[in-house]
Amino acid sequence: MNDFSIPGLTPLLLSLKLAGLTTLLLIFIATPLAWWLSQTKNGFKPLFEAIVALPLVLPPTVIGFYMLVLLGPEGFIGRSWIGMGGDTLTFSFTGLVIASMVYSLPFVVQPIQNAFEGLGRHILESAWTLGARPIGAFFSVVLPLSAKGYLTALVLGFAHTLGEFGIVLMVGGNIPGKTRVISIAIYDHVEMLDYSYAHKLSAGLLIFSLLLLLGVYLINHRWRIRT
Amino acid sequence: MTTSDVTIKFNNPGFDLDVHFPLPTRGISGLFGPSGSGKTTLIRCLAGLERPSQALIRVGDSVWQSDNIFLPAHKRRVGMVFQDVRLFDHLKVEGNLLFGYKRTPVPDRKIKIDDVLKILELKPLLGKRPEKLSGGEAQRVAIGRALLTSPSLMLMDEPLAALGEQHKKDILPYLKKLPENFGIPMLYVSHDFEEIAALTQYMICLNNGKIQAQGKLPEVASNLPEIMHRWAPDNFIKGETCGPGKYKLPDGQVIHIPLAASPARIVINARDISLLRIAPEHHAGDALLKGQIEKIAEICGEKNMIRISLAGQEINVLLGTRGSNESWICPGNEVYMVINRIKLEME
Repeated sequence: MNDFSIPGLTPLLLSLKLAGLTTLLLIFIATPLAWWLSQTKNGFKPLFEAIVALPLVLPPTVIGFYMLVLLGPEGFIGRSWIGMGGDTLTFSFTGLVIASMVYSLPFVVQPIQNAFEGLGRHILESAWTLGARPIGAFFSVVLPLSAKGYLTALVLGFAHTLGEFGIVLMVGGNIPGKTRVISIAIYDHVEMLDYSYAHKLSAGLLIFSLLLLLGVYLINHRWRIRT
Repeated sequence: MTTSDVTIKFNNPGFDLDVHFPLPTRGISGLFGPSGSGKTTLIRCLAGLERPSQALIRVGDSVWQSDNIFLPAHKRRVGMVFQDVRLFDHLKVEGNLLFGYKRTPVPDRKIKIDDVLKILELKPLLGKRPEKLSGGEAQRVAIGRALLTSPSLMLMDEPLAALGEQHKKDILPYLKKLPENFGIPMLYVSHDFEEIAALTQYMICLNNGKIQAQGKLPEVASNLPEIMHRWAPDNFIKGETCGPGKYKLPDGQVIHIPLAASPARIVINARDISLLRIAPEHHAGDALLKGQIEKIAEICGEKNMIRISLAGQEINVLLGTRGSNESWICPGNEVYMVINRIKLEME
């Protein structure tokens, strides 16, 4: 452990790395998914929306349990991953990223979907009649006009992953430098009755989260003034 | 001159659009009809935003839709102006104007940016964000944006409907200037007959998904009693100013106008004319014109739309219910028109 100089640096950096990577990957997955959900006239749309929203209501232990089963060497994802030449996913950082993506999916999909739905078809139609191809219209009109939705999605996805605990514990365990993220580290120190250390880590996370959200609200506020 | 042809069959639950008509290849054509008559569906089909089950849409030399062709909207070279404007809020006015221009292949860019800026007076707006524009300004930008794609057909879907009266009056002159300046045929949709009448002499009437009448405004209008009942057409009289306060018609008759004015045309609404069999003895003469009755049209069961030939021009006179049954009002007779009110059209 090399986190003696600054308390909890390694777990904090690991948490940031996990949250950053998870959010980044989720944006790429959520964009087409949110677009499809916002445009489809499929009768099963409510079902798909309900599935996307599931992680909002399920206890993290339930998701964690199923992810553990799926990611394990005998599970569907774990087996395929090993088949493609990967290492075991359970109790690894990669496994954590995959599990976190499931866990934070609704927090990224929903703001983007809302932004797309708020735009409506109208603005697309006007882009088409001005000669923009459907894909071009998406990048030149839909994406920039959905910037607020993306900002919300980024922050919620990031913050939510940062604060996750149950899934990390079940899928990733508690391996220092690998899967021991900050929330686990705090739990550890509390269990060992090392309250002062837990205080430092908790306060650090609290301040960091506050600053992050403050930044977002400031940006949002400025946008609102401008428009 | 190449023609444009439109045949569309579009079936929606509870509503069928079934039209076939030639589309004028120049000037503004008014597409008129009551709400729910299918106007918007029709031009959405033209724009490629709806896909009718069966259609033949040919604009000039290019076929936009036939049995085995369906050009998507972005390939149609159609300039569309929507009722709800639909500017892109993330771009300034300049970005909005150039959006379509940049996507138009260079050889097709027939309309010049400078001309659009000048005629629609957009230069002062270039740096503004769309949300800072008034309704009329925003619609002017939307029109300019569509023009800059150098479209082969402009479609305007009630572009003034969302504007207040004052803004409507402000923007009409801009619209009027478009055909002569850019030479693009325009289909102008409105449920407001006066708006169409102010813009164009050519109209297509849609009712219940079918073309009810198409042609020059007075003829179309006299086929549509329910409209004529509420509406009287303007007459445009051409002559020339001859001396202060005098406007001379080709046959020598003179209309008195304000002293300093030098109008291009005189506008007299069909309601502002009454007919007399003989010239009154003590009439000043300044507002009295002699003409010959050509035709009498029935409107709502009354013979009250009188067409009169005046110095080689057609004048429509809408009589009130009283007086229209007088025996001297019949084709061939000479009558005197008392002009109660004139408007001047300057150039």
